[in-house]
Amino acid sequence: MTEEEIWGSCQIINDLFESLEAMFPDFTPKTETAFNLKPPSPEAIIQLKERTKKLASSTETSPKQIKNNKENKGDLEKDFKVEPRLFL
Amino acid sequence: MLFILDEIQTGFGRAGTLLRADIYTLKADMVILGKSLSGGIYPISAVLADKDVMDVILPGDHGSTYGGNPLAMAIVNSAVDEITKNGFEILINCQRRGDELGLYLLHKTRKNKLIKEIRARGLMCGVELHEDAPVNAYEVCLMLMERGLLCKPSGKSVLRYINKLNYSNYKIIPSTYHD
Repeated sequence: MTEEEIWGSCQIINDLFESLEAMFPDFTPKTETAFNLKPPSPEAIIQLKERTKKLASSTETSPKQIKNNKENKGDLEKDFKVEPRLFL
Repeated sequence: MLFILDEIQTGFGRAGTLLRADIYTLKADMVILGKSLSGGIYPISAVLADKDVMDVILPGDHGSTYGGNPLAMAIVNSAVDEITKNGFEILINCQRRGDELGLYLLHKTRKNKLIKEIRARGLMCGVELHEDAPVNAYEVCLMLMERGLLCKPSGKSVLRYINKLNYSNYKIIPSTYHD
């Protein structure tokens, strides 16, 4: 799978949902959306990019790094107010 | 009471850690594994448990016709080698790519009225539709299939989008946040 295919697949999802939204312009959800969240802030995006850059340039890949990565992921959750939950 | 974790889908790297529960530092009495344990190519499962739990079953109490199948064991060995090589490189990559995928989907679709929530952990993404959305997850999956993307509905309202673990270390970020 290439980079283009990875992001192409995200784009397919996005395009489809845009089409569906256009098909049902009058739809207003009765349930609360979880997206009453702030959008990713420029600072959060910069942080993510820096962290990714740092990880990408690192030659050390150890379980300790995984642990650090997990801790960073915690910050990411906080930034986007994603509550810890069991997935799916 | 035993605390049993079903990590069949989420375990063994899929969520970017060996177990999904690792993120919460949960300690279970038993853990059930499958799927990724064989790299997804062979039907195999495993039960992990503490000694005091496992020792309840005595030799002869429980048998399995296909337990310890040599081909399955060889495949599991290879999968374990792959996951653990180079200091768990695949898992680190999975976390990194998963962060990007989740943020990208969140960024692109968060204003869409049909979507209630995007959840992502490692390379598992879930797109949850509103319960009263005019389409359900199954219908969305069919439409995605027509567009060349295979996803799976999980219940009525959740679209499950899963990518393979062994991405190469692509430079994704620069193209991530373009509208």
